Amino acid sequence: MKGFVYLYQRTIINRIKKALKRPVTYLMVIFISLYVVMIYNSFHMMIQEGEFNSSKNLVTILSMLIFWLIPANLISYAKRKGLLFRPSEVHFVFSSPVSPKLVLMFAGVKSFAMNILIGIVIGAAGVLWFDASLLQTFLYFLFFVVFESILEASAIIFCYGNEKLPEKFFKGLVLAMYLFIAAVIGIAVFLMITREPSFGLLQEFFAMPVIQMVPVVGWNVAATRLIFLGPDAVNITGTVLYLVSTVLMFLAAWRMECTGAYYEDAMKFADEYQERRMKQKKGVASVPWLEKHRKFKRASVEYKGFYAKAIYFRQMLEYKKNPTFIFGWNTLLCFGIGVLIGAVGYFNHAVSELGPAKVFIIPGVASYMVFIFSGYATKWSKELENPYTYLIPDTPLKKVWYATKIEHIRAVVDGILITLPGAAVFGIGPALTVLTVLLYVCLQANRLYYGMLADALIGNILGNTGRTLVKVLFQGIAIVIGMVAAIVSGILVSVEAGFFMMIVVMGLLTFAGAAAASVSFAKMEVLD
Amino acid sequence: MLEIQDLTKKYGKHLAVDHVSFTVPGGQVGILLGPNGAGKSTIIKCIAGLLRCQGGVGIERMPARTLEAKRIFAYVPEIPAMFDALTVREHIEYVRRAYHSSISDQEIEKLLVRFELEDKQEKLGNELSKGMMQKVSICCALAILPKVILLDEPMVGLDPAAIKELKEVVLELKEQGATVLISTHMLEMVKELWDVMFIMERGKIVGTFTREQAKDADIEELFFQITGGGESE
Repeated sequence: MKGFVYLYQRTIINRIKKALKRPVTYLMVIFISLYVVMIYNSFHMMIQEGEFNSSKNLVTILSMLIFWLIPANLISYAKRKGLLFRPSEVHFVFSSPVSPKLVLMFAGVKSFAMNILIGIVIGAAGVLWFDASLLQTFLYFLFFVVFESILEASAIIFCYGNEKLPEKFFKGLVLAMYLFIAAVIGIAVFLMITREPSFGLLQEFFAMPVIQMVPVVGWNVAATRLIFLGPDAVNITGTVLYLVSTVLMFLAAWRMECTGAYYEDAMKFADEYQERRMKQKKGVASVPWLEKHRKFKRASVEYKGFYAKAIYFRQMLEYKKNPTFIFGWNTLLCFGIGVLIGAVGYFNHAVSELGPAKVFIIPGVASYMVFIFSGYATKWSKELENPYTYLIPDTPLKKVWYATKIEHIRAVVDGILITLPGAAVFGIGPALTVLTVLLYVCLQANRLYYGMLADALIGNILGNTGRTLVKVLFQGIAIVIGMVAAIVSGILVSVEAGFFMMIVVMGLLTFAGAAAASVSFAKMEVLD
Repeated sequence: MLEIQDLTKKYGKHLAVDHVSFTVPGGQVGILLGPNGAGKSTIIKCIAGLLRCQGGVGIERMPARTLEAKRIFAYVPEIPAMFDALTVREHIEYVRRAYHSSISDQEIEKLLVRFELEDKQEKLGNELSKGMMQKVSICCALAILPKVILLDEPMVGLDPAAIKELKEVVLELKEQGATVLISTHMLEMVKELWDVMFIMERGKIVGTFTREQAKDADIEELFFQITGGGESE
């Protein structure tokens, strides 16, 4: 126990000390403060103007959260993936002379701390927005932080520490929870279809005695109703059942024998999580299940060239072995967005009322997509980790081009998927359609090379957030310059000329960015 | 003393450790040798209580999973993992508290000097190189003042000075009556250390020798005689 206290104390102190030394911390504090003020004001206005400020509405929101979060938590614990252990904890904590149950509580502290934070937010929201009294919010905070945490801790010990119940039991529990969530969603959808969809409908749903009598989850809703809406027979019964179940779960967890058999699962998850974190840091979207089940096909490629061109052909060989070739989730996303633009255009007449301006809808959505989504690292970024990339006797600019060539091919396909459905519905001509696709390709290339440039210029000085902000700034500047050129040409000549001009200007700016970013391919050191 | 009785570990259908039994008496150094994939690390992890397994593991005649056994047991994993936000010194301090170890500040200083970490004490875990992490991991294990210590490929990543120091530490532990088990495939490194040798192949112990039995026989010769070299399936 002394070890844990020391570990937490030092970790928190050292993290704070380190954060205070980094300029990005102060920027983040300002940013978060402004964000909180903005969120508060917009919510305040929305709630007051919409006359949403009643305890009943607060209870309904909390009930929705309860019905979602408790089963979701239980599923993650039953799968033994709800607690995060780091490899350092596996190394130093698992073999130390500490009860395995205490180790679980050590990992759970992060969740319990989160409960306190959520409790404070709910309390503040209750008093500030939902006309709840101080006593009510205090009681709910106490209930949420104390009883909810005890129940959660007991569930953690029950799911992780249980060495008697077979694996099948927990698989069944997970399945039961999924079925439960599906049933709740099913009922909600049924009500929405058969009745007029409204927030009042949700209120009615959670007020139903049968819902408040659902073990644990419903009982939790009953306790929430008792605190904020006053007593009735159903919520008193539910609350009593909730408190009794919490005490019983606590006693069962207390008495359960646990020798640490869960360490194996926790260790495996720690490794998986660590791997995922490393990939996330590099910007690679990773789905562990897919990675585990990914199979490569046999393929071959003919190298039509030497030096930097070999990078392109090697990448092509890797992609050919990939069952989905160069396509992935992003392709599906682009297709979905394309279909959505087309469907909205088809069903919503407001779009056709835009007149000639409708040609800007697709480029607008595409720009927004490129601007907002941070992108995904693909094979090109892995080239930077490979020493051979730097050793190949060719110019850095050629290396940049051949390492990223496939990204442009992919952008063409994605651009077609986003553009075509909308273009067909809006009746946009072939020339403008091609220009729209080219604009998307240009925007993607711009993001790619400016991101590379930001990495090369800033490195780790401002951290990930700082790097992202600089990337967005560079891109924003390029888009604004491109738009100004487009507007001027559009007014002076034609819409097509505007598009063309934007592509030319953005293309030049992108090329300049790529040339500057090629420094990344000159020396491996730039990355550090 | 470290006793392993009928230890079996399966990963799904794959039998990684197949009914393995051996004993390393107190005050002796055991070495677990074997090609890649023989099951050495799995055995070490089973002994450290990190894996579910069948069979028994005894530490000084106590079941390994009891807190009493854990108090006198140290483990140096193959791949060290540090707490990002803890300094080198804080890692050792954490171990001292977690194990309620009686190691003094002077002894800690001495350890850090021996492994050339005295000027790295204030470095954070995420600022260390792999070799330095390994040194910290060894120092943490030694800070427990263990009666039984497991070292999984401890020489990997260490510089020559640290390897020399580690060898001396192992001999000192032996003199103090501690039980040491080293899993390795770097035969050259453990030549002068061992008292009892267990050679593993395909999850089984295929040869056991004491130094007396081996007499002047070369450790490499013994190993290749039994395994024929290469990797286990």
